[in-house]
Amino acid sequence: MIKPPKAPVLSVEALDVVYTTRAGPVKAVRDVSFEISPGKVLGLVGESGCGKSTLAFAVMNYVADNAAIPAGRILFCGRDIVQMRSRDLNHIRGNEIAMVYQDPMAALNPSMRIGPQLTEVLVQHEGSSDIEAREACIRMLERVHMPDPGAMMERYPHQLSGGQQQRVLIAMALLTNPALLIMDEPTTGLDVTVEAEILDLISELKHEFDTTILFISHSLGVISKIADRVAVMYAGELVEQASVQGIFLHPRHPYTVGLLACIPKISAGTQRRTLRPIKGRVPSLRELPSGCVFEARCDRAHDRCRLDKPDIERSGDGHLVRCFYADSPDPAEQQAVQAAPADAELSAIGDDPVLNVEGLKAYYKAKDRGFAGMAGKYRKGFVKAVDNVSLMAGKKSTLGIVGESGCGKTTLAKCIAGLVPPNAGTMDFIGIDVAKEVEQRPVDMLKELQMIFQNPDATLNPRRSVGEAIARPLQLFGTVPKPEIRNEVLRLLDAVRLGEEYYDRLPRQLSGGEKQRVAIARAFAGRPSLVLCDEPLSALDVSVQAAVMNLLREFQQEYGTAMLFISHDFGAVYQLCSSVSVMYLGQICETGPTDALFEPPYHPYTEALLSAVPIPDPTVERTNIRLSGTVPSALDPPTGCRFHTRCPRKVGPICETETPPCRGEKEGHQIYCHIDIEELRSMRPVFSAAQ
Amino acid sequence: MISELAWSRSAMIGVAIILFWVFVGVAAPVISPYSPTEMHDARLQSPSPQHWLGTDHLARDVLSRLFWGTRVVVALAPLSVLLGILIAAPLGLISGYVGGKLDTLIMRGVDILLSFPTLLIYILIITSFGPSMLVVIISISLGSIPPITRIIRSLVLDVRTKDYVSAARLRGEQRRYILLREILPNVSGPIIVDTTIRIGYAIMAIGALGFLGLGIPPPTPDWGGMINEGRQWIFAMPWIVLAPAVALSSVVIGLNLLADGIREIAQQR
Amino acid sequence: MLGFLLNRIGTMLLTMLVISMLVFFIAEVVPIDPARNALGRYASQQAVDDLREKMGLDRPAPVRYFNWISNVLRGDFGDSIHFQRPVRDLVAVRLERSLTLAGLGFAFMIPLGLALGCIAGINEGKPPDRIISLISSLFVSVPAFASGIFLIVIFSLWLGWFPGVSIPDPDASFLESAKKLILPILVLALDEIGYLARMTRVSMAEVMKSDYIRTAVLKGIPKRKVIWRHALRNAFIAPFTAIMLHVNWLIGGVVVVEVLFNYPGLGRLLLDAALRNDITLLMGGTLVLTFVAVATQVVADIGLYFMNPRIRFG
Repeated sequence: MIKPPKAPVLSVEALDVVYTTRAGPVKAVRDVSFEISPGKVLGLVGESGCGKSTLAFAVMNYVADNAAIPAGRILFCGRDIVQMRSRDLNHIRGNEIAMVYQDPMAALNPSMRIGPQLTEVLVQHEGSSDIEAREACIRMLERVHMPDPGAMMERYPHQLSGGQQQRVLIAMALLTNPALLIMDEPTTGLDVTVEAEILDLISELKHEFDTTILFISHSLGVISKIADRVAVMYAGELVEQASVQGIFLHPRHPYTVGLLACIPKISAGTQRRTLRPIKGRVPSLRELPSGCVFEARCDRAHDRCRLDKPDIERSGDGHLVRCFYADSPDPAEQQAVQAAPADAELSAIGDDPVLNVEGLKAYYKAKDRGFAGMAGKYRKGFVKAVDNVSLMAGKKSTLGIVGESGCGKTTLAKCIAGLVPPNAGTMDFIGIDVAKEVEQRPVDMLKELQMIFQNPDATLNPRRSVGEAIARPLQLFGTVPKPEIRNEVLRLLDAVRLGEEYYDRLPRQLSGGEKQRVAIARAFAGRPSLVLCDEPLSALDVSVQAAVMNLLREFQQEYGTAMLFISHDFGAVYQLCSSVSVMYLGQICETGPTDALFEPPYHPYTEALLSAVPIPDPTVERTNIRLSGTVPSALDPPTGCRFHTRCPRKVGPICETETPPCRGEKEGHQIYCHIDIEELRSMRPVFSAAQ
Repeated sequence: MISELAWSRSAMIGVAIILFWVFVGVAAPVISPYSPTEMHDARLQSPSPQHWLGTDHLARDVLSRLFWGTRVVVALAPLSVLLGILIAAPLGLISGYVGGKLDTLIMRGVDILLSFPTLLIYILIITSFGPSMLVVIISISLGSIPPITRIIRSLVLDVRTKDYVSAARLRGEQRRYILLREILPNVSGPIIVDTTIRIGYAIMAIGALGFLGLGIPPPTPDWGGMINEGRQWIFAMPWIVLAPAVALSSVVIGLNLLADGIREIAQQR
Repeated sequence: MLGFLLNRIGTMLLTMLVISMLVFFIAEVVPIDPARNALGRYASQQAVDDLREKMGLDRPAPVRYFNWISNVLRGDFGDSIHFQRPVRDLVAVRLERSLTLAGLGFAFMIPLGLALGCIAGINEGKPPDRIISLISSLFVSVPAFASGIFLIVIFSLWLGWFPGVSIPDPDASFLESAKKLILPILVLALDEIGYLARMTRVSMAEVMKSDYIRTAVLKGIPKRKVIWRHALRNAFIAPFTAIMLHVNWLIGGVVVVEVLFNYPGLGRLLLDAALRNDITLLMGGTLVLTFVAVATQVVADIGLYFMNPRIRFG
C-alpha cells in the first residue's frame, strides 16, 4: 500500500523579490518555486549574488527596506506568509520558523550576555518565566554539546570560539522546536574540522527533533553531505532541482554540469582532471537577458535559448530542469576525455630545489594593557606563529601548505616573502640567504620572489590602472627593454584572459576574479623563480576559482616557476600541488607527495582533516574522525607534540613531554608523530575503496 | 573630481555659498559702498537706503565693515589650516608608516596636546605674544596640528596593511616611493573632507577670538570683533552683531555642506 | 582592571605634568619680558622691576618652573597680579559657578541630543531623519557666540522673556535665578546638541543595519523591544566616546557663553586675566580648567570600559 505523501511544510510558488534602486528595479529572485516535505533537508546552492540569501530571508517575509515581494506565494503549513501582517509574522518568526546565520559572531549582540539572548525567545513565545527559560536554555545548550553550559550563559559572544557561537545560534533556533529551520551558510566561516562537527550536530538534531530544514550554501561539498534534495540557483532563478543523488550523479542543466566540472574532487584513486571554468560573467541583475538567463555562458546554447525563456520540465523521479537542451550531450566533456591528465607535468620537489627553509621561527610580541603598557613596554609573551618549520620548494613544482585558521601559514608566507622578520632559522633561496626582511635582501633577487595575496579588493592600488600595475615590475626589474614594456603588458593581459580594453581600467571597475587575474599577471611579470600564493582563491566564486587555478598552472608551465600554495581548501591543494605540508599551531606535522597524503600512513591530524573535508560526491564513504576541544592559543602552546590536546590517537604521556620524531624518509613522505611508522601504515584509510 | 561635485546637491549649495563669500572678500574694496573706517554723521542708525545695514557706534557703515571683514576670514582660515597640514602631514605619515618607538612618542605627544582645551591654548599664546594677525595664524595652526596628525596617522595605518603596499615592498620600492605614490594618494580623499571641515573650525575659532577681544586688533574689521564691539548696543542696533553672526554661520554651513557632499560622492563610487 | 585604572591615572598625571610645563613655557619663558607684558607699556620701571623680582625672573627657567609647580601641588597658585589676591581663592569660587553652568548644560543637552540622534538613526532616510539632520547641521555650523547673539536678540530683545545678562544674585528668588540661567544653558547646549545628535544618528543607523538586530527581529521580538533591549546599548557607545573627546571643545563653549552673558565663572575670569596680562592668574586658572577637562576624560574612559564588554573581558 502506498502511503499518501504528507503535506509539505514549506511550499513556495512563483516567488518574485524585487529591489527598487536609483538605477532601476533589480529582480533579485524570479519565479522561484519549490517544496520541502516534512523532516527533509532541501539544499539551496548557488554562487555569490545568485539571490539565495535574499530568498532565504524572504521565506520569513523579511526583505530590505527598498525591496518587495510583488508576486508569488509562500505557504507555510498552509498559510501564506506573503499576506501576513506584522503581528502574525512576529508570532511565527523565532517560533515556528527559526534561522541560523552565516557569521555567528555578528549575529549575536556583542553587548549582551548569551543567557538573555537565549531566554528571551522563550519568554517572548512561550510566556516562560526567567527561571524556567534559563533552565530550558541550559538543557538545550547541553544538547548541542556545549561544554559547561551554565557558565556559557554568563559569557559575552566574543569570549566564545566560532564553533561555540554557532552552537549557541543553533540552540537559539531550536528552543521552540520550530517546524522549519532556515540555515544560511551556517558553516561557511568555520574551520574544516569545526564545520564537520557542526554538520554532524545538525544531522543529529534533525533526527532528534524531526525538523524540516532549508539549508543554503555555496559549497557543493557541504550540500552533498547534508541535503536530501538540492535546488541550484543562478542569477535569481532556480535552474535545476533533484534529489541529492540526481544532482550529483546525473546533472542535467548546463550550469550544474559546469559547476561540478570546475570543482576539484578529492578521494584516493580518482584521477586529477583539468578543471573547466565556466566562461563569461554572471549577468547584471539590472539587465537581464530576455531568453535563458544562462545562455551567454552555455556550451549547448542555440539561437532559441536567446529568444525564448525555457519553462520548467519535470522528469519522472522529481527531477526539474529549466532548459531546452537538458539532455543533449555535453560537448566539452567529450573533449576532456581526450585531454591528457594535467598532472603529468608536475615534477617532484627534490629535482631542482629553489627554496630551502630550515628551522624557521617567527614570533609576534603580545601587547600588555597594564601599567607598563602605558610606556609602550610589552609583557614577555610571544605568539609563536611559526615555530621550527622546514620545507623545500623546487622548480616547476608546487608545494601546498594546508592548515586551519591560526596555524601560522599566512605568517609563514609573509616570513618567506620578507614582509615579516624571522626570529631564527635559515632560508636559502637560489643560493642567497634570505632569512631577513625584504628591505635587507639584495635588490637583484627581488624579482625572483613574488607573491599573490588573498583579498582581491586590497591587492591593487585603487589609484593605479591595470596597465600601470603590471608595467611597474617590468620597469623595475628590466625584464624587457623599455620600448617593449607595453607590448609585454598586453601579452600578460592576454595570458590571463583579459582583453586590451582592461589596460586603462581602474580596479574599482573590475570584479574580484578579474582583480586577482591582474594580480597574477603582476606577480609573474618579472618571471620569478618562486611565487608565494597566500589563499588566492578564498574570496572568489567557485567558477572563478577554477579559472584562476588553471592560470597558475599555465604560468608555472611557461616559466618553470616554483610555487608555494597556501590554503585551507584541500580540494584546491589536491588540484594544484605536487607535494603538501600539513601545518598545525605553527609546526609542520606531515609532508609528502600529494597522492601519498590521501592514503595511510597519515598523521592523526591529517586523518581528521581528510575525514572532515566536504566532498561534492554523496557516494563517497569516509571514516568519521572528529577532534575534541578547540585549538590552543599560540601564546602558550602545548608542550611536546602540539596536537596532543586534541589527538584521537594519543599514545600516552610521551606525547605531552617529547617532541615527536620524524617517521619516514627525509626526502619523501615525513610524518612527525610518536606512533611508529608500521602502525601508521596500518591505519584504516579515510576513503573507502575507490569507486 | 570637480565635475563630480555636481552630483551632490549639498556640495553644490556649499560651493555656491563659499564662492559667494570668496568673491565678496576679494572684491570688498570695489563693492563696499564706503570705506570700513570712515565715520559718517549718525551713530547707531537703523538700516536705511544710504546704509543698508545701518551704522555702528562709531558711525561707520556696517555693510562695508561686513564686506571688508570677509577678507580676514577668507584668507586666515585656510592659511592656518594649510600651515597646520604642512607640519602635521609628515608627522602623521611617518608616525603611521614607521611605527615603533617613534610612533609611540609622537602619539603620546599628540594625545597630551589634544587634552589641552583648544581655546585655552589660543588665549595663552595670544596673551603672551600680543594679538596680531601672525600670532592668530600660528595659534590656530598649532591647534590644528594634533588632530590632523592623528587622522593622517590612522589613515596611514589603515592603508599600510593593504596588500598592494606589501606588493610594493616586495618589488623593492623605496620607502619614499611607497609613502608618496602608494599611501598618500589613497588617503587624500578623507583628508580633503577633514580639511574642509577644519577650515570651518578655524573660521569659528577666529570669530571666537575676535569676539573675546583677542583677535585681530582694531580698526581692522573682523566679524568676531564686530560682534564684540557691538554687543553693548545690541538693544539699540542689533544689526551690528546680527550681520556678522549670520555671515559667519553661513560660511561654516557652506563648508559643512561641501564636506558632506564630498563624503557622499566618495561613498557612491 | 586594576592595571587599566593605574594606566589611565598614570596617563592623566603625565599629561598634566607636560601641560603644566607647556603653560609655564608659553606664559613665562618665551615672551621677552613677562613682567613688562603684565604691567603694560605705561607702568613705571620700578614697578616692573619689583614684579620681576617677585616672579624670580632672574633665575633660570627650570628652577622657576620647579618652584611654581611645587607650589601648585601644595595648592598655592600664587597671587593674581591684578587683583592682588591668591589665585586659588579667585578660581575656587568661579570654578563652582562654571561647573554649575556646564553641568546644567550637559544635563539638558545629553538626553536631548541622544534622543534626537536615536530617532534620526532609526528612521534613516525618512522625514524625521531628514528634519533632524538638517537642524543638527545648522546647530553644528553656528558657533556659540553667534547662536547666543541670535537667542539674545529673539528672547531678550524682541520677546523680552529672559534677561540678556546673567549675574547671579544670592538674594534673588529661585525663579529669577533660573530665568537668568536659561539662555546661557540653552546656548551651551545648542552648541553641542547638533554634534551629539549627529554622532548618535550615525551610530544608531549603523546598529540598526547590523546582523544582531536582524537576529533579534527574526526571533519575533517586536520592533520597539528590539530597539530598547538590543540597539540602544550598542548605539550609545560611539557617541559617548565622541563626547569624551569633545570635552575640551566644550570648555571653549563655556568661556564664550560666560563672556556673552557676563556670567562670573572661571572662563570669564580667564579671559579678563588674559586681557589684563595677569600671567599668574592666567596660568593658574588654565591649569585648573585643563585639569577638569582631563579628569572628565579619564572618568569617561573608565565609564566606557564598563559599558563595552569587549574591552572589559578582552
